[in-house]
Amino acid sequence: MRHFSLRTLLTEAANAHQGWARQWRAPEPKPAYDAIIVGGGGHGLATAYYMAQEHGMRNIAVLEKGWIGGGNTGRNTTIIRSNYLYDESAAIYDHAVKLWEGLSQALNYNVMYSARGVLMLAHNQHDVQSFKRHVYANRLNGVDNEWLTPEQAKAFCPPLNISPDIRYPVLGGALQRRGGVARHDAVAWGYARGADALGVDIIQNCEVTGIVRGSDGAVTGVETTKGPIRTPRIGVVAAGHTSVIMAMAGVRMPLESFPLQALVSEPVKPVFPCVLMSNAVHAYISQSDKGELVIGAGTDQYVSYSQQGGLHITTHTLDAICELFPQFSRLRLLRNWGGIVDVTPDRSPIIGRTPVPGLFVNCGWGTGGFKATPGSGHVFAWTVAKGEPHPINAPFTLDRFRTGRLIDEAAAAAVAH
Amino acid sequence: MSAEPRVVIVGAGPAGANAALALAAAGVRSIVIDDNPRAGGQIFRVGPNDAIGPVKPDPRGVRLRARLAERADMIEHRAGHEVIGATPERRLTVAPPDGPVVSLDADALVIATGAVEVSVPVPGWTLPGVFGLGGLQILLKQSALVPDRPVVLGGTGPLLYLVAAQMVKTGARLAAVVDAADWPSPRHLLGLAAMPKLLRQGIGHLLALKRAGVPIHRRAAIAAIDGADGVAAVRIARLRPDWSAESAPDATIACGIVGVGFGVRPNVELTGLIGCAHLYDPATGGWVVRRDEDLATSIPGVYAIGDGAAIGGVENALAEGTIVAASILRRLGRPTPAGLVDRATGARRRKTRRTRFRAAINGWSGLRDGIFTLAAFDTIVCRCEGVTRAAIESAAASGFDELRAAKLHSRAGMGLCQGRVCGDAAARIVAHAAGVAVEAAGMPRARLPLRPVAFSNVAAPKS
Repeated sequence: MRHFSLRTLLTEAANAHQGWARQWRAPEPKPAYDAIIVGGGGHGLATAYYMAQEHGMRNIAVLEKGWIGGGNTGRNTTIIRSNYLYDESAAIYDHAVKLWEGLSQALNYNVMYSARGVLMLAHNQHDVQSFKRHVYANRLNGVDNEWLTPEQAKAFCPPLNISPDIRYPVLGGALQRRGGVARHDAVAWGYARGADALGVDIIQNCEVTGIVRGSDGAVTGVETTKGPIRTPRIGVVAAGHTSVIMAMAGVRMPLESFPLQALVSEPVKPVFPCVLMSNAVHAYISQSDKGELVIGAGTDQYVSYSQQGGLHITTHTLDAICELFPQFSRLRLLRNWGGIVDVTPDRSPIIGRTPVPGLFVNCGWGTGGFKATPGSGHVFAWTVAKGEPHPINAPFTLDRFRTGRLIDEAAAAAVAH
Repeated sequence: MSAEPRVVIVGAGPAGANAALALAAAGVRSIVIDDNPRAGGQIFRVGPNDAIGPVKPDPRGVRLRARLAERADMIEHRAGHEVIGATPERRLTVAPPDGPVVSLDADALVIATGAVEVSVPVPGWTLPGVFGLGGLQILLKQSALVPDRPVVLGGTGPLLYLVAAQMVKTGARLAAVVDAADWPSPRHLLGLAAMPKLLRQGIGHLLALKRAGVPIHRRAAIAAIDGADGVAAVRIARLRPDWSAESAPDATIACGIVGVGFGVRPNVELTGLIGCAHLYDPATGGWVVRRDEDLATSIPGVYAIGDGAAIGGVENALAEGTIVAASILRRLGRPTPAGLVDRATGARRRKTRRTRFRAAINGWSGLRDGIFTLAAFDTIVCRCEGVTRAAIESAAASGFDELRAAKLHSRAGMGLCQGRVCGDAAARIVAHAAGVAVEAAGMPRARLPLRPVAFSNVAAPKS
């Protein structure tokens, strides 16, 4: 792997950027691997990277049915934060934030992590009470989160309209200063390059069509569009399509898949200094380094595998954006797209073993998966490599939906979706 | 809500308008959505008033608009409306000229979005004063603007000579015409004779240029455009048979306006967004819509006709409008008037001649990939995002060797026009750098909204 540095950049600039080489190989699948990761999004690639980097498993492959980072990794609004209510959630998301802070250096790839602060707006009394509860709970867990009055929120985010007579008046907000954004594609590419350099085969355009199991029920391999591949361990990290893959092994998942939309405006000069979330009205906004306002909407009400959501959802979100930021109402919508998010009943992920020996799963991140990418990959790599969960993901079992030991972020106001 | 089926036609050019008229004659209402102020498409484009303007309106266009107006009881023509999105369920998102976007469900959807020009980046092509040939024609036909300074026209194909003749006719000072193609060979001329009227018109354009003393450079291209704040001159290079430059540009021609056009391709943005199957066919414009005998696409209830599906010219567009009307009547279970059946059958029969003509046009002036090497390494290819040829090539070399991957990495095609202008060039540059055929690099794709739309027009209207 060629080390990226100021020197390589200057060398290539002098050479009219003609000397850059492929960042990862395009291998054909080998007949067998020690482990296979199904899904070449950020989580899958991070899993493979950490398996190779921390657990010495180099004879592994990532199978991606499309192109890497082409699913939710490339379709989200890149918000990173860890101010979740429950101890288990705060632990895993804060694990991720700590990894985000050093990720560009660790991967030698600029993932453009920018801790510009995430401000979550409260629009009603319930929001105020619940966000304050979050602030206190987070502090007990050592996670930074602070309460801002409307005036303080306005000082932190000057474009914000805090006049009391709007439909969604701002009653205050919870601010996590370590929160921020990163470049989503670069996360997939950085992990892919790192994993490839450690020997991991990243195989694109290779769809898994079946999971092969031995007489004892344990997995022995996968069927793919590029032929069968033998392996004793499979980690499924397929987001919205996880239930489809798991059904191939006869495992029914407590997941529902919904379309979730996002959009960007035309690019403008820097006008928006932070990340702002309004859960009550489903409007999430930040500004990309290119200048586009990046805006997230809520999920459709109905399950679907369509990567297009309903127009009325976008309408609702832009309605809220135009009211909170009247000055943006003449900005033009440039692109609008959707992804498929997999949602669990308690809105917390499932990371761990399954009833099938050798089969592991990492899914159910709902609308909040991007922020968890490094932490999720890190603990899932441990789980697949050692055959048992890392302490951080131990509570996130599939079994909890049978035992009732839920991590019920769905019941918390700043839900993990 | 009435039980009457809703037919929506996107595009009021010859194909779309003719489809609406044929449906109206059979007693089926339709909604025709078009982003221009008046019907007729690019070919029959006119200004706000037929009586003014330097170019006499095409009588076929005048007739088409009159017939549309006569059938206003059956045809709802929504002029100035833009279709910015569509789903496989045939739900359209439409942006009116001003005001909030609306959704529109169609039982049958006809896509007749016409052609777009193929742009070829060369050094200096982003200077003010450089137009597409079609762009110059819009200014001439719709806004009655005749260039007030010397013009050089470049590119290839019939449009080059049509625009050149129009320039001469309207009194513009045409300094030169630069054609990448050679003279049509006898074989090509034989093919062109399949449509004698069009061949005659073409010869007429040539004679008009000859009379005006306009120099025509053949097997040559505008390889660079010079100027500081606007166009000052063009430099001409001789071309090899693959249309790459034989040597550095030599001749320099002073001018103030440049028009360049290397033929047209179908505007497949909408069919691409819906998810219709496409195939790569250089003879009819590159990425074209896959259609059956009924002109139906791979998505049920979605039809594509005219140059928006595959380049076939105005005669073909008119004919496909008739054919698709018969297909839709069958789909809706409506009786097909005998006259329509005859006309549809006749239109199919005449297709052989049109195909021979198109093949000759393509053999003579079809785009050759070498032309895309005229861009220097630091020439901006994606003008919306300011992405150079070198940046796209280095993305392809880094392993992002499909168009969509190169787009994400270099941002070429992610700006306001979503690759409508640079998509052809970007695909060739990626394919060339990756050493694959252009179709292997993938079809350029646009996302909703196909045209930018103000936030306030997407937000719910306030009471």
